[in-house]
Amino acid sequence: MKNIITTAAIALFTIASAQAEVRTYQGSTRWAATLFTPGVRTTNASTSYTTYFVVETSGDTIIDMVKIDAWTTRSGRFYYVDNDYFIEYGFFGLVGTDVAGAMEFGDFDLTIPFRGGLRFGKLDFFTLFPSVDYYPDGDELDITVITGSARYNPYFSGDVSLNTAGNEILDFLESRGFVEY
Amino acid sequence: MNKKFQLIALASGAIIFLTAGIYLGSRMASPEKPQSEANNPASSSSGNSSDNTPDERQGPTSASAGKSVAHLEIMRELRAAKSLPATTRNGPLLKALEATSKLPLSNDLLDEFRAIVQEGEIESSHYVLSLMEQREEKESVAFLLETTKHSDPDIADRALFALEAVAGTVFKTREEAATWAANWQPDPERAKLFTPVDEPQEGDAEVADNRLPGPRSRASKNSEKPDEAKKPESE
Repeated sequence: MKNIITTAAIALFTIASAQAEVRTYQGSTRWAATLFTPGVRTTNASTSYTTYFVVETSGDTIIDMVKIDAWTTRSGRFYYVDNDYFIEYGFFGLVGTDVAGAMEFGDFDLTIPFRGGLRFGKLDFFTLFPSVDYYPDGDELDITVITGSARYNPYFSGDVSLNTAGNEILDFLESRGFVEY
Repeated sequence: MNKKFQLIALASGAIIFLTAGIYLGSRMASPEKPQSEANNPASSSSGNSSDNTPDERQGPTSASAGKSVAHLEIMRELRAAKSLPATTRNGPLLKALEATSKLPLSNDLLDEFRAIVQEGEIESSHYVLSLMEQREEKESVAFLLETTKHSDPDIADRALFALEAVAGTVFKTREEAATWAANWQPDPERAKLFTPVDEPQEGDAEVADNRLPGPRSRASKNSEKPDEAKKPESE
């Protein structure tokens, strides 16, 4: 009896482990914001990032996710790992051909809707809808638009852990001269 | 007497016929101008600004024979933002660039993008490349590939990132990216979401006959050029 239970537990663990996979979506995001310095000036600012959306799933269940942004300024190339990134989505349409969902970026209490498409029953690509109107504490920043898009990138995907896929992306960025922000 | 009369009548008829032919031929070669232009020849010249960019040029990436009012307005705002002083133009320029994401990739739009990237300012160049990455067209991929040869490595590498995003892989060399680009065809499903189609706006004077209100996508045949895909559908 003990052997049967042990065997069953091992089988269940094996099945669960085999089904978990990481899918990375590579694309870019574009932000627009109004920056306030109270009593001094108000300026509009925009920027864009190369963005990797890394999502770990088991079957149709999202287990974990992380987002990595990379950008370049006059003072260097930087990347930022957003461990507070959150994504959720569902399949819609007549035969589940459309995907709609929402994302939350770390440090900002806002929701960005997105729309996408499937390939072989899995999220394959998406675009973010322009959104948001966010005032953090101090009223110094109003994010007016976050938009962008991404496509499935098999190179940084597979039956690996989220940490493994994320570290592969960071190694790749560092090979191109990026450093952590 | 009768013969002489006949000869005279024949000659007169020939002269009348010849004269009529010459008159009609001259009318067809030089049609009369409308009255307004006849009174003010200067009104027939195009544009009233110093920007003489021939945005009416048509090419394989042009969506239709004419440009919608929305297209012209967005292009006007983009050019106006570009002309601002360098210290104040970034915000308006990037905002104007974002508006172009609603437009099909026409020759005039490509020219503006190319000019911005050639200027070499990082923020605006990267923004353009991000916009091009969010398209699924041969012309956008060609633009990104061309930009991988940019003299500024920060801009060239950003273009490479964009190509890798479209391809879903990592390119170890630019030659590898060029080989991929030469064989790449747009994915019809991705194109539906990533490739904008010029929405007809209220009051648009020039809208192609095959445009319908509401969501739609380009033709799914990869071998067709965008302007061929815009031909009226029979179904």
